[in-house]
Amino acid sequence: MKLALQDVVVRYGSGQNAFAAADGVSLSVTAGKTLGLVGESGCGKSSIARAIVGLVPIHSGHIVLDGTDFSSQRARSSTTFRRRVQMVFQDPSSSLNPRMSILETLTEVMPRETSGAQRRKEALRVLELVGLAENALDRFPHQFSGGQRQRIAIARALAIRPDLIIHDEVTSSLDVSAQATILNLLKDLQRELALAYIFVSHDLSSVRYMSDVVAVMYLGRIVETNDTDTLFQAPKHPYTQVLIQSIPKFGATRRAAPITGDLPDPRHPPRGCRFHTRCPIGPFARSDRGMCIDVDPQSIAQEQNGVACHFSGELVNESVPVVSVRSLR
Amino acid sequence: MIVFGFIVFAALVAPQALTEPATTLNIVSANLHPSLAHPFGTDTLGRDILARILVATRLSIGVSFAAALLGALIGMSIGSIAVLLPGLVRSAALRAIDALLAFPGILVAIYIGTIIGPGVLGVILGVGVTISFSYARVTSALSLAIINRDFISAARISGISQFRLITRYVLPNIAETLAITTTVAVANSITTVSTLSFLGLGVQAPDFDWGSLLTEGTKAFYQTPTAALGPAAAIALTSLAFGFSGEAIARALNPVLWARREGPRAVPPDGQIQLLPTLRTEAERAPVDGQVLLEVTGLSVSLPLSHGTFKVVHDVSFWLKKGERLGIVGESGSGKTTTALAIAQLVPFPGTVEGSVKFEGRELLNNSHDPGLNTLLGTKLAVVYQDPLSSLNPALKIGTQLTEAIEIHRHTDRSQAIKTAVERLHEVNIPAAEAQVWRYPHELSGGMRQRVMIAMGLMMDPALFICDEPTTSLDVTVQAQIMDLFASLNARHGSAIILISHNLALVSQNTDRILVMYAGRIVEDLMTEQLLTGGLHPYTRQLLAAIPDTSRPREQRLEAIPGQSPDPANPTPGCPYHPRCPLAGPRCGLHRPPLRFHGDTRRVACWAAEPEGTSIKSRNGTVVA
Repeated sequence: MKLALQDVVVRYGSGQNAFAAADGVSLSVTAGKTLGLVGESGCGKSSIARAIVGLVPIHSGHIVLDGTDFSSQRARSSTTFRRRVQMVFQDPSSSLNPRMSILETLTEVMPRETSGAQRRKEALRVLELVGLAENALDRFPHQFSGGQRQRIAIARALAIRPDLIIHDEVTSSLDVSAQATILNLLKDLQRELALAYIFVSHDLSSVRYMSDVVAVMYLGRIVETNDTDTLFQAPKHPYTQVLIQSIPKFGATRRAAPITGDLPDPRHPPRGCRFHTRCPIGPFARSDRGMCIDVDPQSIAQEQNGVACHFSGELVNESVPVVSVRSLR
Repeated sequence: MIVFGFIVFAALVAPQALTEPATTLNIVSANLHPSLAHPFGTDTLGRDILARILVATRLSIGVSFAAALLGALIGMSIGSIAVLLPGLVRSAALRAIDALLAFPGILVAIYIGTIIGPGVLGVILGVGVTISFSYARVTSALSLAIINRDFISAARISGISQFRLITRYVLPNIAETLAITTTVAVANSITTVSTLSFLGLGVQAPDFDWGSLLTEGTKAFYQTPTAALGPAAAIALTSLAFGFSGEAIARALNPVLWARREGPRAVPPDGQIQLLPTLRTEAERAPVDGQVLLEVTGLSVSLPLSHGTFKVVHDVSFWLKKGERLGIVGESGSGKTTTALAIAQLVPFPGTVEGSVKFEGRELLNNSHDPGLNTLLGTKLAVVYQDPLSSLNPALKIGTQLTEAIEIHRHTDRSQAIKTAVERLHEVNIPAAEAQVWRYPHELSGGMRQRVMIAMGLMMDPALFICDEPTTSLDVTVQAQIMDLFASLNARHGSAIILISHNLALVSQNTDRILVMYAGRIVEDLMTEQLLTGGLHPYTRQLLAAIPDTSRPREQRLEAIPGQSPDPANPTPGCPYHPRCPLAGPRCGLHRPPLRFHGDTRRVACWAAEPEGTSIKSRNGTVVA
């Protein structure tokens, strides 16, 4: 199993208001592996997730599953594609139909030819996979806790027996304890069923815990792709470095924020390198870096092991002093 | 309800029981005034008017129901199909529905009634079509609101057909509101049908309904006014009864409300606990030195939740020194936010607060006779909420919101106030602050809005910032900037900070002391560096092991906390954490451990953390645990 995206563009709106939420995204994932897709809100990661499952059309580019092209909206709405690619959403209290019992929710998605007895058996199978008991079947979503509801949503995706599941911020509405349960469950299921995952999140810690390969997005572009350990230990793109330094780390001395300013409006991304307005080693920090304003580094990512930066590998720390604000006493 | 029952009874029984007095001609007793035998009098042909009204119930209601039902079917189909149409076609269809609503309904009904010809069928069709317009509008508006919900997306991804999407996903979830629409539609239908009959377009003689009775009654209005008032009252009462019954019917339609709720568990009394005098309890705590800013003692808060009023904060006591940074951590439902709201006097009505909160030595709770309290709260205490968009007034410019408080509390004049506002915006790193004061909240980004909230707090000279998840809705790079800002406020102005968050790593980097809350109680109170070497309470330790922190090996499995967060409606007997606790012993299920001092300031509520030999004695003196 291999799903690949090539130069995918997702556009919203029309005419003057049109903007590309994802602009030339390429990535791939294979059976048994997890691709982490990380970035701040508005970077286009959820648009990519929704485009893959066919909830939004793609403007250009290709989506290829095992050599077959599924770029058209119609192709991705087909039963063939939907039987193989599923998605779990952020908020389980809104992703389950409140008026349907769990049994109905789970059997609803099964192929039409499945018999009644078979359906119940299959529902029990997926419930057991996510660690819920049989008595859950006749209850309604509101009778479960957030973590349990998310397990039901995962069970619904599993009931279709897909090869790839896209997880869009699946733990961000959950409490710490439920979050750990869900992340562990997803890892176990992957090992057991050789599932491929695309794990979309703004939380770098959970992305690190879940993923084999991580792609970092900024304003509709992937700025760096690398295997998880390399990316977290030796980030090459200045944005990746900034992101990793911004995570509050338990027990570590706190450092000053590595950059100032907010994310620019994603509808009007800066030209040249999209990160240049905030980049600590970019044109506003160093006067000799005019090329970041003029030249889009997107095309050189390929030859630089997936790092879209003219000054790839240069360390943010060396240019900007990172001071300790107040150490723990 | 009584009216409702009577109407149904009349519709079912009257036509059988009262047909004779209602239809038998009796010229002798024509135009009689109301009497005991004929409470509403008789008409020109000597028929009893009350009987006629009662008999007419069935036809009036039947026709109205049929019309409403027809309208509902047409309207719901049009409305829900329109919503599922693709893009531009959908917009066109929705506009068309809006346009239909602009037609005066009664004219449409009269028009259709005229085409079909006078009679019951014409009335049903005419009124039905009229009603369907508003139905289509309501259905499409409600469907639009839920069509982008994730469960519809999830159903689409799993290949559910469009028809099923409407019947099983869209309609059931808007059924409650539609039910209310239906009862209103029936009420409307009754008046419209009566109007048509009154105009002679509806039910034709020898059949009669309330509308045609009203026509006859009006002719004899000066002889027997009851002949007209009777049917009029019947129409009005029935309309009202249907209008009012909507909510009840809607509630009955919601299966989610039928689901049985478990009754509360019986909580055994705590019994008599005899503790070894090795550890001090709350009551014996050493007096805090002079620098106390906030002192909270025995704070309890009850809040109305979906199924009753429950205590969500139990007996919380802590204190805060000037300039101290205190973190409160816990999962949702732990009571951390409610505790903060109670300190800031913001518990919403009808919630109740007990205990004592002393701020700069003055009692804040239930102390309405202290006239300076509002100014104290307004000038010394600042609150920063999670979502800055909903906590700023969208209709007021940033400058107006920033200056409001000092204009009221300090009587500063406007231009001076604006100048201060600009300075404060500079201080929280807002670029081009002079221009920003004239903008509205929606024109700023999330990080900017949060900075405006902090600047608003800074307009005064706050001794305490209460920050409730101040960066949860912000991105991680912006979060780091906001935390820098709090650190510099703390260093420069010496403001104390209460940082409430579920993010332990964030709290551990930005506070001096941490309260860990569970089920509305403090379970551990410790210095931040003590957290780094592990908590004494098992919940503190389990929370730490459950977060995927980037400082630990990636392969190391997260330790999930088994079981569920507690429900305030079903308090656990004994220690609230014992059902999920790996160290739980027999006494943990029986008696709740008190919060006791372990060292000078550290407090822990856990039997396992108590020194060897702690025992609980029952009333008769035997050791139970």
